[in-house]
Amino acid sequence: MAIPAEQLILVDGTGRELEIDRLIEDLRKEPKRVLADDEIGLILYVGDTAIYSLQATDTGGFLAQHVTEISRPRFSKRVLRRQIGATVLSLTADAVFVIKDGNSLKKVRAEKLEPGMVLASGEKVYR
Amino acid sequence: MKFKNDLERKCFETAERALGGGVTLKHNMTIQIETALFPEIASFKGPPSKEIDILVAELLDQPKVVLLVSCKLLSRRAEPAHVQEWAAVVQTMNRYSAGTQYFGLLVSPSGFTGGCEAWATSHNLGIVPPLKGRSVTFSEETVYRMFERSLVALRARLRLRNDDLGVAPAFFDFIYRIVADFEGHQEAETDGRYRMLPHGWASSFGEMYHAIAGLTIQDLLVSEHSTTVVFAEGAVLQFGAGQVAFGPGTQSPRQAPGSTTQCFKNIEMEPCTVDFIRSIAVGKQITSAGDFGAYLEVGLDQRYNLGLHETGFHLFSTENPVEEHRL
Repeated sequence: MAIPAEQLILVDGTGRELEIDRLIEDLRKEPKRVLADDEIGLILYVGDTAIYSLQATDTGGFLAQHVTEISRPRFSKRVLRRQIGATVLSLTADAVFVIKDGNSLKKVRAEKLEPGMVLASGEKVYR
Repeated sequence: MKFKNDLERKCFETAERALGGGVTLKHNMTIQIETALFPEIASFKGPPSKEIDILVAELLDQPKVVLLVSCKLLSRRAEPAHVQEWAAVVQTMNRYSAGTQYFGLLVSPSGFTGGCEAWATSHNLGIVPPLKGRSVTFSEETVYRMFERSLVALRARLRLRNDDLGVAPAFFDFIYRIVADFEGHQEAETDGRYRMLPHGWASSFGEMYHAIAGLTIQDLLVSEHSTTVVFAEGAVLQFGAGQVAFGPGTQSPRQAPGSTTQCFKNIEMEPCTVDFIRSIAVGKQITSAGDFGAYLEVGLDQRYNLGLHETGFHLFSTENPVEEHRL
């Protein structure tokens, strides 16, 4: 999970923000959606619903991305702050980013993102 | 059933447990494509075939979806050649399939070298354990748990939707998402501060608070080396031996306070009895929580703070002015 649960912004098809704890409690009542619920955490399938995750953009707006699964690990992860483009994000240390490395692309963990790196999306890592 | 090694046996048992059937293990099996009437695969030896040891798991009947698992028992980490070999098998099976969708998964308890990832993603193969971009070593038992979790989640996922995992790297990514969090789990197991009852699963402060927020206190218990808050909703919160346990639970018989029991009231921590703290705390709801290391503190009705120590409780009012709200 790239973004800590506390930082995740989910909206429905109309753009109305969803309260994540309530959403999870409602969805887990449908056993078929539960892909995993064990000592590691909970994973719910939501690919058939109109649930979108909002990602901040350089221009100050938000980009909505369709969510297929909601994952909630049972334990906390190390969280760090990174400025990518114009936005400052809270990220889990194991979040995966794709960066440009010469004339190829490479995956990098959030904890190994360094100032000056450029993501595949063209955004620059500042700090 | 004969097994060539312990890995095969454990993977087979794990798959049977996860899927409840539809799992077969075949040695030196010659796998053949389903449809062979294509000129590009005509050869002097007939259609493509390959002799392999394979664990086959039937995930779905309609449409038919089959998982081909390669179990690699190696003294070193698996290399790109192992992934490439499996990619060729799965790719050929899918290209000349008569309707069956094949997915490929590699299980290697010794792990994978870094170069394997690009081959696995481009050929849409799942790998267990995952490559996580830093040196993370998983125990053999953890790898089997990853395998089991992957199978259970995959079948549940395919029952909901089965037409979107076939395009690279969707299947690789799905398996990665299912097993990636084991990294943090190993760290949480080592730390072990929070445990979720009844299984004793590693947990976190956030999950603990989420589980107890809004619950109503029914009783407070003190035992030899721990304190317990019993909730009317059928849950408990325990503090002792440096650990916080929470979750479903029932009230155990109340014992007389032991000689080591120490309870305190007010900010000045004046000695008091358990019964005194009970008389105020019972019936109140949890409205906040804080972990202070040596003790755990929860807010009650936004009016009191109740502390759980290993030897007793403390309680004080949070209302101002302090002097007018002493207990």
